Amino acid sequence: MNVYTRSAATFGLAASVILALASTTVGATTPTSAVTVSARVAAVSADSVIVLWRFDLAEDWHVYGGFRNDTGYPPTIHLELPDGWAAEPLRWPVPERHVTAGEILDHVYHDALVLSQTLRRPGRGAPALEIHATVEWLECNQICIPRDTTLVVAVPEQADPEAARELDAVLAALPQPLAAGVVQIESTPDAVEIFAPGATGITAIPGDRGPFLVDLLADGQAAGDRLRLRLRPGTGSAEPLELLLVIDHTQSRRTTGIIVIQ
Amino acid sequence: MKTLSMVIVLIGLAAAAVGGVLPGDDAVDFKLKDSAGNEHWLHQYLADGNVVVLEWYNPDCPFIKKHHKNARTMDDVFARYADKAVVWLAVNSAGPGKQGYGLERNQKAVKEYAMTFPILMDEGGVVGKAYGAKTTPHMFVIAPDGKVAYAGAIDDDPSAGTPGKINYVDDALAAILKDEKPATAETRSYG
Repeated sequence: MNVYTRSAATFGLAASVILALASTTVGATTPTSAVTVSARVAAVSADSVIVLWRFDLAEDWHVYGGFRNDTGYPPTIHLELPDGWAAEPLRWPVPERHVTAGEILDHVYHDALVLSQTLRRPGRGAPALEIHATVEWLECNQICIPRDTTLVVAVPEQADPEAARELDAVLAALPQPLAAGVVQIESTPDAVEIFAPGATGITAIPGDRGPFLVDLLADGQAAGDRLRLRLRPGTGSAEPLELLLVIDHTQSRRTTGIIVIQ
Repeated sequence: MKTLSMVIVLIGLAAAAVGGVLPGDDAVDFKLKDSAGNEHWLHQYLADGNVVVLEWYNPDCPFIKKHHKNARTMDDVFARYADKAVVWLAVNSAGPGKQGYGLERNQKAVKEYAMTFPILMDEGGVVGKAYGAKTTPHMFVIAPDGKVAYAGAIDDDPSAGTPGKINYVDDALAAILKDEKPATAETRSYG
């Protein structure tokens, strides 16, 4: 919790079990939760399925993104998969930069969050009747409350058309690896400098691993076409720095993309 | 003029000016009263040869409940050093009107969680800001030489439910008491 302004209310990890009887059936959390969680299968192929995990939030509440945050933690989904199945990482849409008292910087979502996830199944057409998932998240407004719920998602022969349309929209909004030439990167042990020709503003959202940063609150957003992210040499993990870049141009045009800096 | 005991003494403002302290920095000195009205002066604890653990604290935070109620992480680690020169201080920097704020709530929390160390009241958040404390808990371990030896999380499990397998503060205390530097001097705090 934020040391200064936010604290949490109850610690009751409210769990509810929802059995999805049809492929698009969803679950819901306890009535007191500010977040309703649901899941549905949005694509089915011979060797994989894609699940959409949806978090609908009450007004003014937020959940955390899987990025560099000062407080909180992002939703996690623990899967019980049939033998031989494997889950790929969750795909995160672009979060909001959320600054609160005490110079606390988090990357969050309001209103709704839809995470997509590909599940690989062994062999062609290996059947699975259902997928069991325990979803945990922290929901925050003036207080933060840890929650969890259990979902059982049935895997259909085919995804229904509505779910497929939602998947198209979700995938279209996901940041992709940034095309070559969109930005120029200069990296030293002390800093990463990003130059995006023609940009009117740049926001850098680091992943939750990689080196420590000097001051993401100050450095992570810059007007104009340049952004300088100061690093603390020799600190943090040896893992590369992954950055989600949001690049604004004139006429409200926006480019988002992911870069990895070794 | 206010007596020294009534004001917070802040030294090492160079570190505070950039929003906190890091391992290797001088600790920011302070004098605060706990929820029972007793005064605690960091400088004196260090001058007496103690290692000082600071734990940013809010009794109603689920992560504090994780370590003080569901598990006894903090008190258990502190107990392991009961015969050593180790001082453990919880610090509450919550602002007025916020949950976890106020003498009454914290006096109750001392009993509710059977705490074996005091809760210092930093109601203006001055000490919290000087250290760059952002979460509850946010841990700082200060060696007797006045240098910050460790800053970050209590352990390696950032969930609200399960204590971690690696306790960084325990490891830091063990190292400092052997006149060694902690193998891990900094982690990202969670809370």
